[in-house]
Amino acid sequence: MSRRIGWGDLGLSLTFAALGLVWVLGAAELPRWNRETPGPGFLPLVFGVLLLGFALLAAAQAVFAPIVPAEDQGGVRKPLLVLFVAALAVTALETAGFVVTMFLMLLALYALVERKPPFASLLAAAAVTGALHVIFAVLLSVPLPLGPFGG
Amino acid sequence: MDSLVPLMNGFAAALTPTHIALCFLGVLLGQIVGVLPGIGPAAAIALLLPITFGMDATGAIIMFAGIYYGSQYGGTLTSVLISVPGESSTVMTAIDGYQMALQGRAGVALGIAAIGSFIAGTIGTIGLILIAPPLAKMALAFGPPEYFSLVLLGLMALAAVGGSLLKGLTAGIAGLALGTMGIDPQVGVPRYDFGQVWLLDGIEFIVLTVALFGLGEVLGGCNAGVARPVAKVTNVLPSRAEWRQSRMPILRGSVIGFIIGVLPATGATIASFVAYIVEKKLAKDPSRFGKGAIEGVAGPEASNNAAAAGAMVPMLSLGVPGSGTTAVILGALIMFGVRPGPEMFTTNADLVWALIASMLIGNLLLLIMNLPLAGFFAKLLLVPYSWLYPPILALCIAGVYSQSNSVEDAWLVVGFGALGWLMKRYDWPMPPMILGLVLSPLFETSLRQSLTLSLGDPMIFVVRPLSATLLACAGLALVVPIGMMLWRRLRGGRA
Repeated sequence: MSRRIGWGDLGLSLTFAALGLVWVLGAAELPRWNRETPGPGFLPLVFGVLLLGFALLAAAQAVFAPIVPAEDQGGVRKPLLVLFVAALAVTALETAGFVVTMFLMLLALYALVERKPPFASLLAAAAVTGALHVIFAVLLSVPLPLGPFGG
Repeated sequence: MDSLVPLMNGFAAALTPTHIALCFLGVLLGQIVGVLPGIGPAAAIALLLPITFGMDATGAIIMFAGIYYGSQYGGTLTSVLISVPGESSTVMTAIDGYQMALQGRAGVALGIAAIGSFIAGTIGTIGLILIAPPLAKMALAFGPPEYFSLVLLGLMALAAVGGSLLKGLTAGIAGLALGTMGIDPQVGVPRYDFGQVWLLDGIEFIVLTVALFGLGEVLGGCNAGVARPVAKVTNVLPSRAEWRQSRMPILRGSVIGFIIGVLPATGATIASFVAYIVEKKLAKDPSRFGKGAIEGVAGPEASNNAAAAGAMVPMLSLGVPGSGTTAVILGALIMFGVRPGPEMFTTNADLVWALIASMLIGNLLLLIMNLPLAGFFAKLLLVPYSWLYPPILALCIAGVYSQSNSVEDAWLVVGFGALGWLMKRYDWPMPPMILGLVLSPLFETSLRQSLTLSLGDPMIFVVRPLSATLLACAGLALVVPIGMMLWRRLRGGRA
């Protein structure tokens, strides 16, 4: 009989365990105790050890006593696609400028990811980009990246 | 009566046109985010943080508090009209509220929810006025050991409130660990900067909050693109008979909600659950519950609003948030240069009392808005999430970038957003992680100061009565959920 494993919980537990390990290793390079008081490496070491311990316990739970999700979590394709578009936008932000990047990101999400009608997608992308520009660049005077087109 | 003069000063501050406008904007936004799927009050506040950065702290906090208690009203609409609770605290409302909607009484359900919420919100705020100042005065005796124990209690309580204590603790410690990044506050040594200059400032609260509650929620919700059919809203005013049936549940719910809300990290969800159970137990005919009993709407709705006011008590008087959203508000206070904790009532009295006065004003605004406009807010449910999440995503990136003109921060949002999505997907609580990051500097400073005072002797945390009491409470917050889990397993094994 095959055992069910909570792969999602296991992945997250191992991610947190890796973070704990990084903190333990990093604390080794810092002074942990100065005379009677804790040094800059003391609490990071404590946090690292606790994080590693709890995360490994959570990983063991995911393997030996997994919790079944209460409801269907939905597919991963669309969230990954949205995350990819967001990552592309951040990459392009300083090169292409704020207005161009935001407009293209919104257009991609509406027209390609959500398959909305092209004209409605264009209109929504332009309206949201315009609103963000007014809020941040005009009202809050934030120096947003201009890009080659000055926008 | 010591509170009367500062409260009047609070009203004078809150009743300026700007603050009334911000209070109105806050409750309106809270109402909207309570209705809209995939975005909660914590996310809304997180997204607004960059926009409010240059504002005065009082105005911003009035608006954030408005979002918090306004969302409790908004969540009711979805519970009643489509049986999908907008907030976890309105889950119990959905049971009888939706049945009322199916019987053509959606308007009455929303009307009694609005009236009950107004009464409960007002009673809760009066409770806050009576309890928070003396509690804060008592807590003024706090030294570094008490602060250390208090932070520990806050973290334990918030970690314990989610589905899994182990996941909550892991998330909380991850937040504490992330909070140690950057320059060490006492000796100036760089920590965990990985050779990157931009990491010397550590990870900003706003970056992690927007990532987890903003992008994480977007990624978690983008699969749900289609709107559901919505019940019609007509005649929101209850009849005399319906009012008679509801008035005692409203009063009982207010008291239950406030008491539960005051306890650190219990919050509105548990309050509404307890209120529903109490009403069912007290009912002459409990079989009506689940089939459209108006008491099943009035009690839980009153309790979740009173709990929202109650959750402000530990946050304002002790600096310990009572819920995920108050954890974000706590972070916002720190961002505005306010040190949350007992001294807030003395050092930032204007802000605190203006906030409390604004809660009374905001509740009235919500009542005025909800009775005639319930039908209008119900129309928001027709907007599919597929139209909403792209602007939210754009606001996440723009907001974080604008904070310090740093593309690296935007990258952190993408990375932590992915983590937030997975945490939401696999039911890992996010508020403990935020609270850990927010309270990490206070935790570390108070620990180091305490051990300096005691020449390295950790007994300082136990020999001081206040610190020992807080530590005992923190221990209880850890032991009680474990005990309850073991008890359930034992009973399950016997059954």
